[in-house]
Amino acid sequence: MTPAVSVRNLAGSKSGPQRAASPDRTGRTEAHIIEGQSPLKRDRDSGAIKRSLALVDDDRDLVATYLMVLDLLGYEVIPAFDGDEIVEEVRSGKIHPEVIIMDYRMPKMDGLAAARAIRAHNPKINIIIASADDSIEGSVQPAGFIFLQKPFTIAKLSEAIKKALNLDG
Amino acid sequence: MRGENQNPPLGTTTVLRGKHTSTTRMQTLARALQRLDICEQATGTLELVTLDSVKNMIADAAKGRSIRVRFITEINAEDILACEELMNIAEVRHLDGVKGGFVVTEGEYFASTMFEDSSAQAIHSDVKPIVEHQQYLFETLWGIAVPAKERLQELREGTLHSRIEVIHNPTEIQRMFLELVGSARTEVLFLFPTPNAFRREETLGVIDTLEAKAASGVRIRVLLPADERLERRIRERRSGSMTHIDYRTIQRPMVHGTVTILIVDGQISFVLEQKNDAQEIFVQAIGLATYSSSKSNVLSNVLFFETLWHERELREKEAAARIEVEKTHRRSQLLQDILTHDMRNYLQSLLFDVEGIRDLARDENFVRKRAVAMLKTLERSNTLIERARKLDKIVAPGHFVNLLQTDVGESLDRSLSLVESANPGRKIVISPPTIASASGALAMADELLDEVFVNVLANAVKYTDASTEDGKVPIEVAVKSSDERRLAEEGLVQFGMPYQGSERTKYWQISIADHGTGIPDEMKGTVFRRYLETAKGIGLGLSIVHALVVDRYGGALRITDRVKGDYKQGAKVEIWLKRSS
Repeated sequence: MTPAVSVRNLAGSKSGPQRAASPDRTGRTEAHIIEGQSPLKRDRDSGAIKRSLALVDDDRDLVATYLMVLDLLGYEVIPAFDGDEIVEEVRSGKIHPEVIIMDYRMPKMDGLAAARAIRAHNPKINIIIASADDSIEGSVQPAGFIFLQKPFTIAKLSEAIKKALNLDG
Repeated sequence: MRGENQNPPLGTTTVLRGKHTSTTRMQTLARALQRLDICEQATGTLELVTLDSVKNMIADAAKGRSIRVRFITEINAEDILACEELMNIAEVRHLDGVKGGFVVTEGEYFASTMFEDSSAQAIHSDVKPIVEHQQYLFETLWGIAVPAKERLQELREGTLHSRIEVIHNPTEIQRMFLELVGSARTEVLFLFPTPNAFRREETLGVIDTLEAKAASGVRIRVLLPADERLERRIRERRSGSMTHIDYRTIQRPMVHGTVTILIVDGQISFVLEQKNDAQEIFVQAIGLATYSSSKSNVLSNVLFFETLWHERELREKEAAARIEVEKTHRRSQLLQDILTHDMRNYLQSLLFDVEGIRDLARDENFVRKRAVAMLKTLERSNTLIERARKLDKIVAPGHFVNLLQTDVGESLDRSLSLVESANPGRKIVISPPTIASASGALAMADELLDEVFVNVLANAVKYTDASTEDGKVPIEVAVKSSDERRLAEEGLVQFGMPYQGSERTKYWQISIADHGTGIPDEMKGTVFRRYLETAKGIGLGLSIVHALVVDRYGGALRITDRVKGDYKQGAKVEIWLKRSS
């Protein structure tokens, strides 16, 4: 599980500390959603354009770690904690992420169902589904989503995001 | 009649009348030295046991002179007592239609009409060929006669005098039906064809009579096809009664759904055919009835009942075995799930942190933060393993459970201390300040009861915003008395708590309400059930609570809102534990 490559050079920019996700047994995250957020933002330090991602996982501690990593990789991240929540935010037009990184197993709506709902609403949003369960890979990839099996390295994550943003080819 | 033979007579054959009859009979009995065989018609036997002189003479032969005394007679239901008396002094056998009577000894033959009748006539002979002929005749009859013991048993079982009767008058049917139920001494078997049949007969007071019978030690077994309403009614009856009727529910009986079968003491069957099941009144619903004390009839009804009863028993056992298999399967799935899902999530976190420190660390503060995060992840993974181990132990098949008298208040106190020490900076504020209501609340549980309260309280802490009220965690606790009927009314049997026995079980109801973020209605049904359904994204803490309260302690569990209708005001966990008497 040691990364094959250093991730230092993957970090595109630096940004201020991400707001921490406070515990919430219902999975609601109104406080974290940036209403009407544009997918393109500039980094305060470098002035570089920050790409907007959404991250969905019901494990709040893991979300906090994700936020640290994605921040260091230079992305603007909108966290959510369940499948139905991200679907609702996208459908309502409150957020416009370019890529969504989604856990598969969540209490109310699983990642694949949420991904399909989002794809039906906006086919332009690329979705990465991350799961500890490799048996779902066969359902994820044919549906046109990117699959990442947990645990994965920061390099793998970065690579998957770039692929989703069509930056690697 | 004297022998006219010119040769010296080998003996004499005499025809006797009047008083000589009884004198000669007594002398014949008295002279017997080796054998005394008597064949007597039923009335003669009755007379014999009332005549002490004759009875004593036979007894003297049997006991005083150690002669084998054999007696053939016709034994009928009204002769049972006389026959039993006779059996004390002679070997007795039954033969149908014995007429008159005779006595044969080793050297004499005596035949008479009646014992004490002045007009009686008799023949006495000591002529050897005549005596031998009569001995042969007696042996032949003895060979075909039935031992008195067997005959008496048949009479007692009514197999010879069975009655089969079809009754058409509904009022008479009702009278006989109630009389039969009331006459049961050892056992009642009842097969109802429809839920309505049970209801009608309950209205008639039959079930009350059965409960009274059960209370006096009569074994009552009832088979019935129950709908939801009837199942509820039976539960109510069981919970309200101190006595025990064994109920088993069946699909519609295999024959047809119109016949009620009642079998009393294994000797009488009463089969009621209903003509209109929709009628509420017994006499309006019933068509005709067949009363039978015929052994074969009763036995076939008993056999039918027992077949259905045991089939149901087997199905219940099969269902229980299937539940055990499913439980084992769920257990292994849960462990696999923990390994593949939860542990990999923790590894994911650790991997990001390690990589972050190695490749992205900007300063010492960053490293310290990641190290703290890693420690937290390690602690969480350790807690998960510990909980999985605990849950696995609780739900392991064949795990021996020894429930003891356990003090609920003391367990709550210990749990509070444990949760507070595990959450520095958080202060649990119990309302009311002391759990006075829990004082003296003794429940059937064990040392793992602390685990229940620790998990519930820890959840309250976890989901109560730490940034408000200086990290205080307000919790309202109440302990009150409850019982099985109230639980049935609340519909809590759905949590898998079966009615055990018929006595109404008493419970302690413990409510723990927090001011946390609450649980939306759609999630209330799953928070306890990760173990049961490998539910997605749910921790193990409340599954442990469920496994302990419901499976281990035979209690019940429910989650509601602290403020009814507004889940955001906090959650309320209600726990029912059986009271220790």
